[in-house]
Amino acid sequence: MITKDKLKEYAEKLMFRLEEEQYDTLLKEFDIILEQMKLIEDIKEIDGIEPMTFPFELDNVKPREDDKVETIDTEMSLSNAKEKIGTEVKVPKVVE
Amino acid sequence: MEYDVTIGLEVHCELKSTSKVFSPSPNTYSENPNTNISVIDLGFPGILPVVNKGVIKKALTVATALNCETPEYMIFDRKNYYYPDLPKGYQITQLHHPVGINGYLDVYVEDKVKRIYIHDTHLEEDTASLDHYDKYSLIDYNRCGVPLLETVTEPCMHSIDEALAFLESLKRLFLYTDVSDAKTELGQIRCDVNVSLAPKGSKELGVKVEMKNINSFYNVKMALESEIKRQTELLNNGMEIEMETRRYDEATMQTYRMRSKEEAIDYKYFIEPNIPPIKLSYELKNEVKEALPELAFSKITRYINEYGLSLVDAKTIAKDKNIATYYENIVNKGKDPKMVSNWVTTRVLGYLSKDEITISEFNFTEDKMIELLDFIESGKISTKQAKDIFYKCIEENKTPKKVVKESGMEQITDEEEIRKIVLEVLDENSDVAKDYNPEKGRMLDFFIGQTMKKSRGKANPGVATKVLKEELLKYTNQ
Repeated sequence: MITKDKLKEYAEKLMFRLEEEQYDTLLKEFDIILEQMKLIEDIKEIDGIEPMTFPFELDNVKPREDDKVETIDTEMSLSNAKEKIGTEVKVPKVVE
Repeated sequence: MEYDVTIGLEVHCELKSTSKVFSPSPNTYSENPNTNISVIDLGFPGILPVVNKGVIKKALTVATALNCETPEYMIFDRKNYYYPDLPKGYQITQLHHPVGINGYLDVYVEDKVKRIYIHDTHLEEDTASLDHYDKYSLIDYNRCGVPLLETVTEPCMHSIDEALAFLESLKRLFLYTDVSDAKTELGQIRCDVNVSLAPKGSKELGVKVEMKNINSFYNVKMALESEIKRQTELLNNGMEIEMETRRYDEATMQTYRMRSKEEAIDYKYFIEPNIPPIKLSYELKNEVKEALPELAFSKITRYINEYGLSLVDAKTIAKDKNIATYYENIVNKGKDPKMVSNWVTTRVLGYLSKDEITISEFNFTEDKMIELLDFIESGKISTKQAKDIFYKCIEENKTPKKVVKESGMEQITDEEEIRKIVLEVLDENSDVAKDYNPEKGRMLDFFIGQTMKKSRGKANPGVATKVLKEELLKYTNQ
């Protein structure tokens, strides 16, 4: 059962916060999501079936040789950073 | 009350490679922040990671060295969590199909062999590094995507000594197989430590407490000591241990709560869809197996059984792969293993530690050691002289042959040459010689002393004694 408190708990765990009315919207949307999920629940006899993660069985996937390097320009990579000091990105203090 | 301690370890090791595990940016340490980065490391939209073959081989090497079962395919998972050091919002790792499972590593704990069971070893990517200041944090993405191999043991260690012996052995395995520089001081090895206490003899494990991200083996020891003490006190006071994650603080040498079980993060693991399964062929697995060097544990055991070394000496030599190679190359040239061991463990290692250099920077090469030991074996120089020559060779970067020749140190071992000196000595001391009595050792000592003096210390004492005894008998029989 999804409740507003549950949503707030998840939001806290996923480290984001919403306005009250946004939680209301989300709660309504969850009814729809759960309805959709029920459709999947109705599929029978799938216990012994391994989930498919890739559509094709490929035996010819080649990893990359470890022989060359390339980088991107530091200035360019930092151009979208809101704040920076030197060539480091500045963020609010985070200590777990 | 007494308790059984149970310890499990998770050891992260940064692997060596030219480029990173999923991106082409360089896997090298840089003082300049955000210079070794690519769009893949930064998690830009539309990126596709491509696995590095060299890194797969290194991960497979460790899995094989740890006697693990290896999978048919290399498959990755996403571990989802939000933290500023993880720009993609997920870490690519291996949960469902690790590169190695169900392995073991035999280690020496003091003089006993202990088998440490490996739950799994899996390949993943490192995160960015954060620098924390008073009011803000700074992010350097250089470490993002550095290949990281995490080795997880079963909860099978029951003392701090066992945990430390395993860590040292695992570090040595990384160095022997050349997959990592394994420098703890550079954060290349980091540990999570799990510890639980149960009443002595209990069949069930106690409640597990995890301590995260401990950056040196010394701190593992201190964290374990502090945590075992904390848990013992709680249990003795009738309290329960809470399943939680704690942080070890170096400054206070204590552990502090990070989060409880309820607050544990649900990582929503699922198979990484952007990397198709990569087949680990029989040929590749075999190539890795064939290339595996003899590891430290096997060397230690062999040195003891074949060479008759003590456990302490065997461990000292096998501690460093390059020292072991130096030692074995000399022994393989027919030199006495114990004699070589004495030279390596005392003189060589003593010099290296005094000068803070490695064996590869050491100018007294294997060939020079062989030359020096040849001199001792042939009796041309004494052991005491050999020590002087050893240091002189290093200081002046010369071969033993050259030093012996220049200093005229070479012993006289030729019997006839020594006989000439002996006869001179007897002539000069004929009064004493006439009264020679083999029962009186001090008289013989007097003549040995005179012979050594006359030869300026170069006469081989053994040969000189033999010749003196012969000549003195002739003298008294006259």
